[in-house]
Amino acid sequence: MRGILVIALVLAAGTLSAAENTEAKTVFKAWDVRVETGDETLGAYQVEIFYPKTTVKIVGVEGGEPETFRDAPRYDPKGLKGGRIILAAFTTDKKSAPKGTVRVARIHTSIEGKDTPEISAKVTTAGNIDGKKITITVRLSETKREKKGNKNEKTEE
Amino acid sequence: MRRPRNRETLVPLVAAVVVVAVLLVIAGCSPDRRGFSLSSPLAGGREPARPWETTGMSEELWVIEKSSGDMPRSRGDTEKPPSQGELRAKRGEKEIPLPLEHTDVKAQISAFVATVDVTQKYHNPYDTKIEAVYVFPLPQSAAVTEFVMTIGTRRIRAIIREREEAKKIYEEARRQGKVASLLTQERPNIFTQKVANIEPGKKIDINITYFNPLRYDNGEYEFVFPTVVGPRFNPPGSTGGVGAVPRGKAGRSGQKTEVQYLKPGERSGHDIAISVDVAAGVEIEKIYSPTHAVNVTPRGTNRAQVALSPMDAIPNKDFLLRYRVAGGTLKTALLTHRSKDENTFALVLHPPADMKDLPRMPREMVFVLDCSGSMHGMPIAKAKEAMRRCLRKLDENDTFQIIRFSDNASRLGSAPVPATKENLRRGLEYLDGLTSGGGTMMIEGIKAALDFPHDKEKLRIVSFMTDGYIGNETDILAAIEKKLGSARIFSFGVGSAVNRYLLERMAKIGRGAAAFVGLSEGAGAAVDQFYERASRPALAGVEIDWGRMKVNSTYPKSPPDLFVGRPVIITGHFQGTGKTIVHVKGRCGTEEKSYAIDVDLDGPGAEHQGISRIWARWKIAELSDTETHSPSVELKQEITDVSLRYGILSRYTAFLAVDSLSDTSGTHGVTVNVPVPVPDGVRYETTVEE
Repeated sequence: MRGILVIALVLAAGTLSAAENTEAKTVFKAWDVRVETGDETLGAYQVEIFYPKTTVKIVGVEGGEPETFRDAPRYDPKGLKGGRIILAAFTTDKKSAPKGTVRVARIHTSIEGKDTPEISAKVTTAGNIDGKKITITVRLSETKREKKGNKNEKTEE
Repeated sequence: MRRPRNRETLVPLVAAVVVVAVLLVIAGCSPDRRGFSLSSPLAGGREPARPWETTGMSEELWVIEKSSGDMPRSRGDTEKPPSQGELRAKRGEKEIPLPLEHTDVKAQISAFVATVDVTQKYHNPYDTKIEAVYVFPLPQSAAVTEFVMTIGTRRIRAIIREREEAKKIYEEARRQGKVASLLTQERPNIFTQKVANIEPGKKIDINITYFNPLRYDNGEYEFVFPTVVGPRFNPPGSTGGVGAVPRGKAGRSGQKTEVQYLKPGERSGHDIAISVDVAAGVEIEKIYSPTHAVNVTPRGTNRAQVALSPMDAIPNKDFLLRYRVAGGTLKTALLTHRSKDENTFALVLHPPADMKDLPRMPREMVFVLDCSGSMHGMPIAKAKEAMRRCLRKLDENDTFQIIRFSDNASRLGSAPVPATKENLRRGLEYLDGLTSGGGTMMIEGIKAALDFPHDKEKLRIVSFMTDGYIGNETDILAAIEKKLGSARIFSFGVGSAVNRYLLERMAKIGRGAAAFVGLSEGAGAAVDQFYERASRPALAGVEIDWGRMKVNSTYPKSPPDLFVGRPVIITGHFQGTGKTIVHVKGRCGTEEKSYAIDVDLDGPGAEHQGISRIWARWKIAELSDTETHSPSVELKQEITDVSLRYGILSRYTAFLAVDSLSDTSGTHGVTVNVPVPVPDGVRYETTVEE
């Protein structure tokens, strides 16, 4: 039995070592997409996010913070190959349309290598709850986790 | 347990035993006389199962197996352990706690297109982290376009990627303890869902959306939602098929894809809810399900809400919903979708009504009956009932042959015989004597049906009567393509969860049509329609003049032959606006036929967003058909490109979602395959490899 345990520990150690090596290669990070609408209510938006396609892969698109933008935004699959993703969402709920600084989405990425990639965003178009075109700005920041677990995270600006 | 036969099998087996032992030691367990006996407290309720607690409850046996990943596997080699870590639960006749709790299906039907949302509700009833793996069916023509993973209130939309790349990222996320999910297509109608790192007690929902054109046959629309993959037979030596193994026996079949089946008397607790909102646009005359108990709530005359009765919620047979609309035979319909990149249309083309009046042609009917183990009982009885009815409809100008196949093929006589009273009596006797058992070597049936000289004076109709439970569909379709000649194939699916993909494709390649009969409905109506269709000449060599529509990239590339009572859908890109006239012409026997269709490209109700994705799905289907007989790197790339561009799942792509914020503790946990019941009417003993 002792012999078996020794072999098992050797096998386990080998597995851990291999895991550490691989872990250094790929990291998973999330990025918050925030828009600033000023005094306008946000009815719809379309933003483009640019990333280095050789090292960054988008692995998920999450919905935003307000209930009206909680559903995961849609993306245009055509843009994915070229190192950009176009996100869009809208709401028709006049009562709870958000305004000010709004986290409208979050993107999940896998990143090869140790360097922090340059990821940027720009607004394509936006409208208020009445369908009128509005000017907004967009910011992207890495989401930092506060603790272990799925739900507790905070954003590091 | 048999002894390992050689060094190659011994080494990995030892490694596997070591790892099993280590896992059990870590879990604080020790082997007893029954093996590694562990139990869970789940007998009385829904508390988390604790695989490593020994409570001495003899009715429950929990085993954890872990093996090295590169085990050699072969069919029937029972001493070889599974290739993945796996948690197994055996609870006698009781409900088995499994990670898939519920499937919720919400369909909306508009015109002839169904938009279907499928939510699979996963949970972890164990007290260790798991990866859930579920192999499930969808309609073969479904265009899967969306995939969202919900964790609590957070919704993460999956990204479509090349399959190998997506798999690699998923495996890495799984290894790092991230909650992740991966959806892949194994066949056009079989999919695998993986959900990694579900922590004990946690729930994760997976939502899949697809578009699906409805089948329309003899005045009725049919919505189909398959709920279970039937157990497939794979020819000896094959590895790329779909294996059927008992619950907890992962890796036994040696096939690339595997479905685990519950044993008789076991149930998983997984149930299904289905609701369908039918917006017919015209008055609904009749709406019913031939397979399930349903509650129908009319919403005016043109609309109805249909819900599956909770009493009929076991997912062990296809759900069928049929409805007939006012006005008898439907007129041609045109749907369009305009976008900045392209305009797409879908035209439902009905055959001319007067084709019914054409004289029937003398036929050489070749009936091919699947007598394999999966047809045992009700399915073969239904198939025989259908064949008897067909035989009785033949007249003396026709000839017929009956071929049976299972592990091999045999036939009534060396050549088709005239349908005289005496020959028909002999044929019926031969049919009565046929029994089921053994494998499904369909290739033998195809050779026997197509490899003999054709009587040029007669229309050769080959009718396959089968459940289609085979894993080597590509081989079969390629063989048909090669051997077809001038024959037409009319496939006849029999059973509660038929492999519709195979049957439809056989018919398409064979320039015929497919028909299906369930176990709970009489074969009469389906056979009569089938016979009528096979008897009359089709409108062949169809050519279409599109009028003022400038049309390109149509699929199918060549319009198929039109049969009485069965429209076809043609989809393509177009330029143009307003009204125009489309002219269709073709040959019916020796007669030239043509007819005109008025279409309005901007007419009310013409717009349908789903059309462009249906076009893409059909393009992928056509490229895949070509791939069955002429595979190439270019074709693979083209399928991949279309799939990525339109965001539609294909065999070369996958949907991937990773929650990069999740950090679950420990390693990736054990893999739990979701076992399913064998389809209603199918016997476990004759289909699942014990």
